Amino acid sequence: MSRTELSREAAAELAALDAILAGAPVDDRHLELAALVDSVRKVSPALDEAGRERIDARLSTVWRKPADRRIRSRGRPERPAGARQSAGLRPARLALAGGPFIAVVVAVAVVFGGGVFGRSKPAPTVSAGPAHGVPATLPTPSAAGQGNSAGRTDLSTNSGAIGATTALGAPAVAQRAGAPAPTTDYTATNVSPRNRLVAQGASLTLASSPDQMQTVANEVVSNTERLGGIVENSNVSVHGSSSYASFNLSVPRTRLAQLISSLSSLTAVRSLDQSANDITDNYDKASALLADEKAQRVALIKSLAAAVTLSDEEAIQKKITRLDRAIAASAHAVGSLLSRGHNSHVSVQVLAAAAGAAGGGGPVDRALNDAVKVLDVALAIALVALAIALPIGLVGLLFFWASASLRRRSREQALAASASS
Amino acid sequence: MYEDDKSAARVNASVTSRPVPARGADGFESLYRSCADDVFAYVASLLRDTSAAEDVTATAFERAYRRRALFDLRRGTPRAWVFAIARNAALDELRRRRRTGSMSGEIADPTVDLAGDDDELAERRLLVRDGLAALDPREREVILLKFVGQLSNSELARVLGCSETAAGTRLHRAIARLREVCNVAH
Repeated sequence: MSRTELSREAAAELAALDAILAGAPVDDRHLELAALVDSVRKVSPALDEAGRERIDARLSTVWRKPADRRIRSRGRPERPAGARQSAGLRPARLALAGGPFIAVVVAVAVVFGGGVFGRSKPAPTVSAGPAHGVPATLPTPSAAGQGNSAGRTDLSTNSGAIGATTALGAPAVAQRAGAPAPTTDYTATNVSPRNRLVAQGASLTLASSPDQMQTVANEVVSNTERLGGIVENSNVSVHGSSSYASFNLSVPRTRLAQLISSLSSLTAVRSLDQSANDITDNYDKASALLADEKAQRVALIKSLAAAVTLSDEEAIQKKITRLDRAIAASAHAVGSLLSRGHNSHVSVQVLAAAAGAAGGGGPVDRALNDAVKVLDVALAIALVALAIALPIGLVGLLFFWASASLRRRSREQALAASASS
Repeated sequence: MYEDDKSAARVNASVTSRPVPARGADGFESLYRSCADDVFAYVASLLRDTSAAEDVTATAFERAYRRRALFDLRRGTPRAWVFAIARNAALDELRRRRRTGSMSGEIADPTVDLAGDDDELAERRLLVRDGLAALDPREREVILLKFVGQLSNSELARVLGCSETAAGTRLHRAIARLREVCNVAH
C-alpha cells in the first residue's frame, strides 16, 4: 500500500468506522469492527465520581467561580487573575506588542536623526594638497537642501588641483519662501590659520512661475544690495512660459551664505553649485612680480639720473615706460585677485516653471506640498520600520518554528519511550 | 470474532454528539461535560496513571478555556481541539517524567466496568484491554483518538501532525495490529 494512498479495503473500513462512530448502521462484514470499537470504549479507563469532582473543583475556579465576574468595558468576561498573569505576560506577547513599537521608534530616530534625510546631503570634504592650501573642509551645502523635501538630492564633489566644486542638484519640489533658511556659516571656511586667499563662487538656479518672474527678479536685486553686493549684470525677460532672468552678482565673501540663503527662500531651488578656489599662490606670485617690477623701476630711475648721454636717457626712459605698463598690469592682477578673494561671484538664473512646481502657488498648493512632505516622512518611517522589523520577524519565526519542531519531536519521543517505562 | 455482537454495533448517539462551542463559560462547560470522560480515558491510556490523568485532563480544559478565543471552527470541531490540547499536555507530562525519572502510578482497572456483561463478552473485552496494552503507544494512541475521541480522519491528522492519508494509514494499521494481538491472545 502506498504511503500516500489508502487501499480500497482500508478506505472502506475507515468509512465503516466513521459510520459506526456516527451511530449509523453498518454492513454485516463490519460488525466485527463495531464490536471492536465498543470493546475499546468499554475497556478504556473511566473517570470515577471522585476524580470528576476533583476536576470539577479545579476547573470551577477557572470559569465558574467568579459568579460576580467583573465585566470589562468591552463586555468580555475578565480572566482569572492567575490566567491573566500567565497569559498576559508571556514573552511572545510582549515581543509581539513591543517589537513593532520598538521598530517604529528606531525608525523615527533614524529618519529624524539624519540617517535618511541627512544622508542625502553629506558634508563633502576635500583634502588640501600641501602646495595649495585649500581649507580642509569646504562649505557644506546642506543649507540649500534643507528646504527641499523630495530628498532626491544629487550631490557630487569634484576636487581639482587647487579647488573644489560642490554641485547640489535640487529636485523640482520647491523650497518656497518661508522655508527654513540655509544656516551654513561660510565665513568659517574663509578663516585660515595661514590667511589663505580663497575665491568662492556660486551658481544658483531658481524656478518661478512666469507671473512671479518680475517679483523674483526684483527680490534678487534688492537682496543683493541689502547685503552690500552689486549686480554686475542682469537680464530679465518676461514672456509667459519663456520668461527668464539671469544675474551676475558680487557680494562680500562673508555675506555669500546669507545671500544664498535669502535667494533660496525666494522660490524653488532647482540647483546650487558652489566652488572654492585657493588663489593664495597666484596672489603671492602676482605680488612678488609687482614688487620686483617696482624695484626694477626704482633702479631704472637711479640709472636715469646717472645717465650721461642723451641716447642712454632715451633708452632708460623707454624701459621705464614699458615697466610702468607691466606694473599697472601686475597691480591690476593683484587687485583682481584680492577682489576675488574678498568678494564672491554669484550667478543666478531664474527659470519659468509651472506654479505648483515653482512652489509659489496659493495656500492649496502649499498645503498639497506639505501633505506630500508628511506622506514622504511617514513612508520613510514605515520603510525603515519594515527594514528593522522584517529580519527580526524572520528570525523570530525561525526560532518559533525551530522550538515548535523540537517540542513536537520531544513529545513524540516521550510517547515512544513510554512503552518501555 | 465479534460477529454475533450486533448490539455493540450501535454507539451511543449521545456520546457522538459534537457540541458547537460557545465562547462563554456556559458553552464551554457543556463541551467539558460532553467530552471530559473521553479525554480522561485517552489521557489515562497514554499516561497509565489515573492521578496524573486527572491532573492532565484538568490542565487540558484549563488551557482550552484560556485559549478559547483562538479556537477556529474551520480547523476542526471543538472536541478535536480539546483532544489536541490534551494530547500535548499528556505528552508534556511524559516528557516531564522522562526528565525527572518519576514512575507512573496506578492505571484504572477497567474490569469494574465489565460487570453485567456475559462471560464471553467480558472475556473478549479483557482480550481487547490486554491487546491495547500490548500495542505500541503510537498505535494505541491513534486507536484511542479515533474510537474514544471520535475524531474524523482530518482531525486525527491535525492532532497527530501528519497528512490525512498518513493518519488513515496509521489508523488502519493500528486496527489490524490490535486484531492481530487479540487473535493471538485468543
